[in-house]
Order: sequence, then C-alpha cells, then structure tokens
Amino acid sequence: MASVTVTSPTSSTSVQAGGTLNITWTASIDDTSESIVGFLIQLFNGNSLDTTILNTNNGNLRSYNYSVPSNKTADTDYRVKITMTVEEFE
Amino acid sequence: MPFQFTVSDFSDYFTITSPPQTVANTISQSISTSESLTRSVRTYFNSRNVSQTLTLSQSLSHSIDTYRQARTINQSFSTSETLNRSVRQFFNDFTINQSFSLSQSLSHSFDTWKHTVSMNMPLNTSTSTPSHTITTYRQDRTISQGLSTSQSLTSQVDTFKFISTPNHSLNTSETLSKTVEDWFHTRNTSDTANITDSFNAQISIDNDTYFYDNYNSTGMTKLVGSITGGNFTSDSSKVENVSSLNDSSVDTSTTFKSTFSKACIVYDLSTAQPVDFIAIYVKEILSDPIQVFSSNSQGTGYSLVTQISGSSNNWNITPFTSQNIRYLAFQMNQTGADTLINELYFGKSFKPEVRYSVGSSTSMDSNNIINTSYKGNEYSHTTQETETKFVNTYSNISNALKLQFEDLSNKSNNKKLIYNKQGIHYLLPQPITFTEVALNRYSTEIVLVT
Repeated sequence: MASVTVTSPTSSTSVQAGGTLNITWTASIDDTSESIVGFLIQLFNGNSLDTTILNTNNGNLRSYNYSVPSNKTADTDYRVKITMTVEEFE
Repeated sequence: MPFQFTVSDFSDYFTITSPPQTVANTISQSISTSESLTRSVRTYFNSRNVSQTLTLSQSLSHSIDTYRQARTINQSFSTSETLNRSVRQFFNDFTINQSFSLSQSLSHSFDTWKHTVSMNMPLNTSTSTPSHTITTYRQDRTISQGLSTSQSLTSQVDTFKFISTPNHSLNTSETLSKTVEDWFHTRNTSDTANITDSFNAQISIDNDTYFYDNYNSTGMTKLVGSITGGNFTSDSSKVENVSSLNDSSVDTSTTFKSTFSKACIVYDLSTAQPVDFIAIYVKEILSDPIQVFSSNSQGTGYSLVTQISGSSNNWNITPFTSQNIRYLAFQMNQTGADTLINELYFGKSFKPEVRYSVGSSTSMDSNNIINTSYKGNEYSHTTQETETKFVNTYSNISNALKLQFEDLSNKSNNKKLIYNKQGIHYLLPQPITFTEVALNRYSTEIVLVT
C-alpha cells in the first residue's frame, strides 16, 4: 500500500518571511508492482491553498528547501501538503 | 496497462513570522538633551551627522564607557560638565579642524583621556592633572600636530603618548614615577625624539609579529633528491611522505631516509619571493641541524642560507635576513637514523605597522562544562586541555594593513600560525572580520589560542 508522510515542518517549526523552510517527507510503495512518478508540494493557510511550492517528476526527492517570500503574511496556520503520484503495473 | 493514482499527507500547522523591521538613520538631525543619567551606559553621545550642534548641560553620576564620541565635520563643542565617575573615554573625536577648549575637572579613573584623530588640530590644555589611574593619557593620530606638555603624572598609565604621525617632533620634560607599558610609541617617518625625562620604573613593549604560511607551501611543486657542491640531483626515494610536511597536522611526519648520506626537499615558489623565516615542528629533537639552501635555478647554484635546529618538541622559528628566493631546499646530512619532521613552513614575517590597542586581553579557557545532578550538585568536566586565548584589538588601522590581515586570515584560518609573543605559539581559530570606523579606517580583533 503506497503512502507518503510529511516529517517536516512540524508544530514547533517557525520560519521568518524571507527565510528558508526545510520540507522533508518519507514515501513507501510496493517495490514489486509500483513506482513513484513524482511529487506535488503545496502550501496551505488554514484550509485554503496559498501557493504551489513544487511540482516535480523526480521520484527520488525526499526534501526541499522553500525560500519563503519576504512579503508572506505572518500566521500560525500554515501547512504543507505533499501529494505523491504512483504508477502501478498489473 | 499501468495506471496511476495519488496519495497525500498534510504536515502539522507551523508558523511564518514577519521579517525584522529596519529603521533608517537620517542626516541633519538635531539633538537636544537635558537628561540626567543615574545609571551606567556604554555610550552617552554617539553622533555621526553633518553640521550637528551639541549642547550639553547634563550631570553624570555613574560609569559610562564613552562620554562623547563625535565623528562629525565642523562641529563645535561647548562643555562645562563635571564628571565624578569612571569613564572609558572622555573625548573621542574624529573631526577635521576642530578646536578644543577644556576646563573640566576629572577626579576618577578613565581609560582614555583624549583620543584625537584629526588634522591640524591644536591642543590647548589647562586641565587639572588626573589624579587616578588611566590607560592612555594621550593618543594622537594627527598630521603636523604640536604637543607641549608640562603635566606631572603620579599614577600608572599604560601609554603616555601614542602618536602615529609623519614628521612629528617630540619635546618632553615630564617626570614619570610609575610603571608604564609604552612610554613613547612612535611609528613615523623622519621622527625626532628629544628626551630628557627621568625614568624610575619599568616599561615593556611586546614583540608583535605574525609568522604564517603566506606563500601556500602545500600547493608548491616539491622535488626530492640531494644537493652536493651546489647542484641538485633528483631521487624521489630519499624522502618519504613528503605531503605530511605541509598538511597542517603535527601528528604526521615526513621521513628523511638514513640510508642516504644526504636527503633534501626543494620547494619551487614559482617566482622569486621574499623569505625571512622558517618554522618547523618536530616531536623528536634533531641530532643534526637542517641545512637550508636557496637558488634561482632548479638544478644548480644552491648556496647555504641558514641552518635550523629542532631543539625542542615544539615549533622552532628561525628568522634570517630577508632574501628573494625561487627554489628553497631543506637538506639533512644523515648520521645513522631516519629524521622525522612533522611540519615545516616558511614565508615573510608580518609585523603590523601599529601596535594592538589598549583593551587587548589575555584569558585562560579551561574548556570546562558544568553538569548538575538530580540533587542539585554541580560537577565540572574538562573537555579539552586549557587554552590560552589572546584577543588583540586593533581599533584604527589603514586599508593597507587591513589587506595584510585579510591575507593572514585567508591563509591561516584554522591552520598553523605562529604569533611571537613571550615565546608562545598560537593558532588563529576563526576568520578575521573588520568594521569600518571611518573613511578607509578599520577596527578588528585578532583572536589567537594556544
């Protein structure tokens, strides 16, 4: 069963606008029948999509440094969503 | 046929904070102060404006680091304050064409009485004689300035007069009755000193010289062989582990093989460069000295420059008259046992044009950490050997000297560096940084550890 888990940022993460946010995640698949096609990383403020950080076809990527724009509104309700696309062979 | 699907996950909620705010400094700002200070401050007035007038009527009753620090043009001072506490600097002025008229009475210790860095500034002093310890009595870095002094000092000072001017004449008749570290400190061209004073106390001036690998010996081409009759013959088997000689580690050594009567290493400096010292580190005292040859041709014309004795399990510095050298050779004449040398470097020693400032410090870092038990008892653990740490502060140096320090920093950071003070050797553990204190003038701190 394929799954992806965001390991950073966490609830204790605080980053300054203009600074760098380190995003890390783990991914697991069934190696015999599945392969990772890519990842979509998005920034949410509350339940609203704020911006798309990265859309990549690199299935080996497990971390990404996001440069937070200096004009980004300060808030405590930001979340990162990572969507992994998996290809399954019959 | 393969098909695709997606899975996703959200992170925890996290925080993005605002960037720090910046505040712009303005020009043509006027300051009018009438505060009364009752606590210590580091700087009372710090003004870096153009055409600013200061009017003061404050009364100070506590210690401050700097009473006035003015870096202005055409600024006038009118002062009538009374100070009754310690200050580090009473006046610190970096102005042009500024005149002083002082009538203060000082009754407590301070670090610098007058620190003037100006051009064509007359000094006219009728101040009552300081009656307590001061570090620097006068520190002047001016051009064409005349000093006429008739003060009598009865307490210790670190530097009585510190002048760094061209064509400056000194005529002194003071009597000193206490220890000073540096009585006259002149670094001028064509400077005349006419001294008739009576001394009855000790003075000392430190030997302030840096030795470092300023030609990058690690990257030089090195040849192994022997020199006989001034001629070099190549034979790579005569010396083993050549790279260990310049690997910035005293734990590895280069071996000059005893199976040969002579064994040498030749360094190619690429072009003729001035060399005036050689430093070696040995763990085993050398039974015979190392012969040092130089030549401007790789194969011929080698002549003896000096001989080095590795007389202690430590750094051994051999200074000699500066020579322009292209090929520099180190040869051992073997007497039965292999010779091990742990490190070797050479170059042009660097003696700054100015002495480090007052306020430079020496300290011992025990490298202790403190742990606390469940019952509240504290336990100290020494994590490394105790280090002696020197912080040499240069408060006002030229751009040329800054470039020399930068060269030292670039080539010696975390590498071998010998600083010749009291026969102790030091390393530079971190890069040297600079702060511009005036146009093309800089301050810096050189941190050295054993």
